[in-house]
Amino acid sequence: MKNLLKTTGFFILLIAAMTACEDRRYELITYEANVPVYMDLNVFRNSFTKSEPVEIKQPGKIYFKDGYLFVNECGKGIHVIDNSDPSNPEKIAFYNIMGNIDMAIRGNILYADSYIDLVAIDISDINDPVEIDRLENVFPESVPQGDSWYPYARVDSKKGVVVDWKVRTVTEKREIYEQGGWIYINMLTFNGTGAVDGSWSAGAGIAGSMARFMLNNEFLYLIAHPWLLKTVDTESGSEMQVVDSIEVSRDMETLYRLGDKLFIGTTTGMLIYGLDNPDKPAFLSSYDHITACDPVVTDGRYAYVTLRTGNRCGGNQNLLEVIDISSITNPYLVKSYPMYNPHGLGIEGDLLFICDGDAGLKIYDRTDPLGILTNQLAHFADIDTYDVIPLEGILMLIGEDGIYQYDYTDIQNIVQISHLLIAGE
Amino acid sequence: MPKHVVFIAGLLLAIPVWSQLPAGPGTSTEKVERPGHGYFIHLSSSNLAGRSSNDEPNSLSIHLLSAYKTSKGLCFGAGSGIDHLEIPLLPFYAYLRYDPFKTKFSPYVWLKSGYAVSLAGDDQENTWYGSYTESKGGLLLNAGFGFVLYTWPNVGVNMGIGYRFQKVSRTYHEYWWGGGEEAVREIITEFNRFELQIGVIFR
Repeated sequence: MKNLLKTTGFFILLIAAMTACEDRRYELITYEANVPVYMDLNVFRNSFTKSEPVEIKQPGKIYFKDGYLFVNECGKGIHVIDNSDPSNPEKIAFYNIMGNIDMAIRGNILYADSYIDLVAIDISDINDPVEIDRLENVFPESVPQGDSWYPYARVDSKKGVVVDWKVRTVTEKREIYEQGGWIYINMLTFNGTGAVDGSWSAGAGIAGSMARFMLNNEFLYLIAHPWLLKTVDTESGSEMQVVDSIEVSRDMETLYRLGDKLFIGTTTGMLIYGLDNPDKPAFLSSYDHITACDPVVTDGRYAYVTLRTGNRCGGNQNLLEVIDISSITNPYLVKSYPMYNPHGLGIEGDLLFICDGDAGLKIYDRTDPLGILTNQLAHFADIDTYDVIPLEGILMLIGEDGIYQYDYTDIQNIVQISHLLIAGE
Repeated sequence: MPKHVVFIAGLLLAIPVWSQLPAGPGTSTEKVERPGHGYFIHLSSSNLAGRSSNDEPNSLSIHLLSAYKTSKGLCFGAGSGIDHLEIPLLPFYAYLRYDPFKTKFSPYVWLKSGYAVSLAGDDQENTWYGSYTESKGGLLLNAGFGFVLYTWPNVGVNMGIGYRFQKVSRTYHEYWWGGGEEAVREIITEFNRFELQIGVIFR
């Protein structure tokens, strides 16, 4: 009996030993890639400064507030332009905000993204801005645009914030099937946008056709990642906090608010969220369209969406879609119109302004949603346009070769009143 | 246990048993006497078992080594063989054994260390992304303990258990749609295996 127990014990130990050993597999991948260039977090978070006006080289989104025009310099900061006289806009300052793309202003507080952080800047004195708060890691995957011809190497956020990319050969060690590195593009949110991607915005404190930030009183909605919508409470100007995060199973791009509704432009459709509880947007309905970049604006009855080709969103059609949203839970397409390469758009009164890429600025009477194309009021074909802010008779337009402003108080006689050139033009 | 292991175990056990059979009428069995030192050859077969992600939880290993035993029971030698761990391998290793007893039943501990060369040819694959494969062996480490049962003055059968480490890699050359250079993707497997060994020793 004793021997039997010993033998049984021996074999149990033997079987246990045979299964105790486990093989280990991993990969070493050597490839030419965009390799991150890091900046120390402390240096980065103390980098905000104000400087004298600088040349506009790569303008991004624009924002208008109380006579000032704020123009984003992609990834660098914000140009402050005194636009109290639209016929003579004057650059007065430049805010150096590393990695900046978007902005919104509530009262005297400017909210701007800075790579992975959201900063609040007191601009009571426009010439003496003061950073009063910083919400860290709101955009955790936000990085500048690299060389799109190459894949992206893995980012190690412990090393700091990614401020640039260098193309070189890199070897990465990783577990089999591990995420990150080696064609790492899917996890990144590029906050640097070039002319090709054309993430240009308009905004007048409330709405912008390509804005990624949208204010609703003290709440700031922002697209923190293409599939993550965050709500930031800014009531206490110096203590912002994220109060809600919503995961959306689409690639979000733009936000537009009208009253208590938030319209989200995604690459595959328009989403409508209710803001009855402004700190917690609630999904109401969606409208699907072909895959494309799609800024959206609305007057509450109709939503206008442009879809375009030739960008990272994909798509093969250039369209203006008019969507009836009178039944907010059941939006439906009224009509699609062919366009050349539509980007941003804006509405005021019965007017619809469309930046149709190389085909210029087109202005329509939108009274009849079924006959918009036949009601074209004006066409400025000799400019490459990206986005517009129509506001009380003045149209602020940003294009490849600068910032144009038009007076459209007399719709029969729309005139260009100024043109602020960008560097090199 | 795989069939090949059972077969080889039976074969190796049969040799010393056969070697003890009487040579013929009138022949008596000689008393086993073991010299304290000298050369010996060790042929062994092992089953390498472990948890694996490549659906090969058991692998076969056949080794042949030659060594010299000192009068203090320390053995030095070198060997080679055939292993199969994901890819066929030709190992070359140094061998160290401590076998202090001179009895018929003699326990010992051993250590092997060396390098295994891949016997797998390059696997050329002309896919749309231009991938092809190279195989490479790597470091071999092996340690364990066992016993020899000398059933004949110059022949003994052994059994042992131990641990085997073997590194192998397969390298894929791929072309990324962007960039000008190819991407080299080396998948490295470090085998950690439990070894169950049986063998025969000729002196």
